[in-house]
Amino acid sequence: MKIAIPAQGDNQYAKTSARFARCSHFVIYDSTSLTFYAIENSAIKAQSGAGIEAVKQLASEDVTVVIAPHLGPKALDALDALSIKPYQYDGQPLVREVLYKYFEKDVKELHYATQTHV
Amino acid sequence: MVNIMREIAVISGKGGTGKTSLLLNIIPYFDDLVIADCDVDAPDLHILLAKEIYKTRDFIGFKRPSIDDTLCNQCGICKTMCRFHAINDDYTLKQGACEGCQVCAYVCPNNAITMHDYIIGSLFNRHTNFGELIDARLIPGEESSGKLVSEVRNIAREEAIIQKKDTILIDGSPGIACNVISSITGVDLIVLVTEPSMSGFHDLKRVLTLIKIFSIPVKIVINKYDLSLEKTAEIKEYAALKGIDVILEIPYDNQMLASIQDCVIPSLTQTTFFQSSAWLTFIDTIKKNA
Amino acid sequence: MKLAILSGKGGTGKTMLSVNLFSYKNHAVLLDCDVEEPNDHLFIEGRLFHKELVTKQYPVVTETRCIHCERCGDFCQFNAIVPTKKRILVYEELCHDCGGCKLVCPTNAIRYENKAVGTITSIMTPTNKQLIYGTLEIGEISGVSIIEHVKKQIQPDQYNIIDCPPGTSCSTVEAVQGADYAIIVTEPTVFGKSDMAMVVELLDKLHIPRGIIINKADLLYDHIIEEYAKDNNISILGKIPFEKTYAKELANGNTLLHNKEFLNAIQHITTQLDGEYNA
Repeated sequence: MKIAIPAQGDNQYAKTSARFARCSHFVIYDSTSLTFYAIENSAIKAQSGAGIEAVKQLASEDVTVVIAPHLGPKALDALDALSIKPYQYDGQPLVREVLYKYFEKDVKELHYATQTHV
Repeated sequence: MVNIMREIAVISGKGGTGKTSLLLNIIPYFDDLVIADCDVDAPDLHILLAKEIYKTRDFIGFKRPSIDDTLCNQCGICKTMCRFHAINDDYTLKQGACEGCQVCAYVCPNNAITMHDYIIGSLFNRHTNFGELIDARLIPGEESSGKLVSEVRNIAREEAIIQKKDTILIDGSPGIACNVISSITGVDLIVLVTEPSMSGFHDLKRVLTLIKIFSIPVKIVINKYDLSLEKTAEIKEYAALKGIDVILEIPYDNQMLASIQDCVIPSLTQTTFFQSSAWLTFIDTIKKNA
Repeated sequence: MKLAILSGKGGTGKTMLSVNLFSYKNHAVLLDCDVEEPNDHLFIEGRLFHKELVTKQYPVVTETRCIHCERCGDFCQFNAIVPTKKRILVYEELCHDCGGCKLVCPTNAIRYENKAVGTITSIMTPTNKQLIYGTLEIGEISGVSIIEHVKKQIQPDQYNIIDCPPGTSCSTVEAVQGADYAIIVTEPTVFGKSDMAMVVELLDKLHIPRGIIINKADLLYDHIIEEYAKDNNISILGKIPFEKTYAKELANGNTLLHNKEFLNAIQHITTQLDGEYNA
């Protein structure tokens, strides 16, 4: 599985970013190969709709989990629609530390309250 | 190599509260700076800061329709279907009405309409004594100013990465709509400049509501606070209620205005206010919170 | 008569001039088109006599009819409708209400519902003058449709004062277009002059005659504007000096007509204006 973490840099020792849609990078952990890699977040350039653009990028990388300190309702909606599970952490850890939190189950699963679509 | 960059936006809601002047006063206190003038309707920073423009880019807004006379049989379907009444009776485009939706091109039965890129403004790179300045000029009357603001910020970010600068200072525009939204999304800190007047307070509340929607940290500066001590107190009370810090109160100062008129940054030449602990603490607070 | 008041730079005194001119005239209609931050109503006493919502439409998708062809997403220029495998996401604030997504949908799975984007409020003063102002819903990206609605309240046989938004982009165009005359309120500063030049360019495009009022006038600096006006053949209708007392009164939401000097300035301006407009 692939886990994405919004970050201020391009590696596992980077600081995490509080801004999901407009972070400079997503650092992605691939649990199959046990490696980290990063993608530049193209949504940072978007005038509007940055949230969905960020989520679409992650979906195209086959990410299935996102861990961020803050995810608004629109981001949650988009993540749900693209089948990516959202989690939340507290504090300002480094990217690598967030992963530890995830595996130690020290993160909170977020739920999106689905609207009634006809 | 990636550097950690912080973005600080100075906005006001109401125009004329002194946001541009404040930004100018803040600039000399940052060493590694890129400055983004996002007030694209009325870009003013370059007047005090810049030497010449060394790079110009044209900016394309959304596409606009072009009607081929030879294919058009004047059936009028495009006019009927355009929800913005942007096509005149003579099949010319009405100034400022077209929103670039492309419905007209879709519905034309004769394929007489094609969409074309349209230049709505220009973006400029300028050198200043304090760092790169990116500003833009929207051709008066044009749309897509929000998009142009986003582009100013994108270029500012690119320059900050290339030149290894760690701070981008953004001069926002008045109001609460697309220009302002594009100026503040994703910034690390908003410095909100207000004045103690009925209009100022009214507009402050509206822009704070906008900022809340975007969940961005904000600090308030009250400019010309001695214009009305009662209103200043009212604003401070309101801010406290909302859990927002008022981090600076600036007195009305003729000397500051005079400096700006002489195209000199007040904080560089005037000593009284800018050596006060209030001012220096303010600078410190901004740096710590961004 | 449709008189537009605009400035380019914010904070030069559009509202000040609009509300004081409105108060000065025996018969007038004031239309506050600065719908992002409307302020005129803070200065005018009156009773509320009408309020209405301005709405726009946004798409709602019937998922059972949707075949996920994604034509709606491909067509939308504004990223307001975004198809995903599970369902169609709609971003109402981004929707420009163009009707395109419904047109391209092959299975008629899209219908439109209404969303309030602002309000129009009408106030009647004790002397039977009307103030109409628009207020944009916070979070919406454009006030243009609200301004359109405010301007529908223009009364053709009356003296309509249109208080325009600052700047020169689409909101200002919507407010100022169709005006018979435009007053540019500026301040004698380098910023004021620079921003005024952009407004003049806009007025040239729209073919609207104009005059200048120098607000916060100062003997030392007025020349900045006077030189510009002379070079560009624009009349200066009058000056209102900078007075801290004026600023304080305005800060408290009061008009200034009780002040003799100010009243004289307004009288002079209206005389000049009549002369200009009839010329």
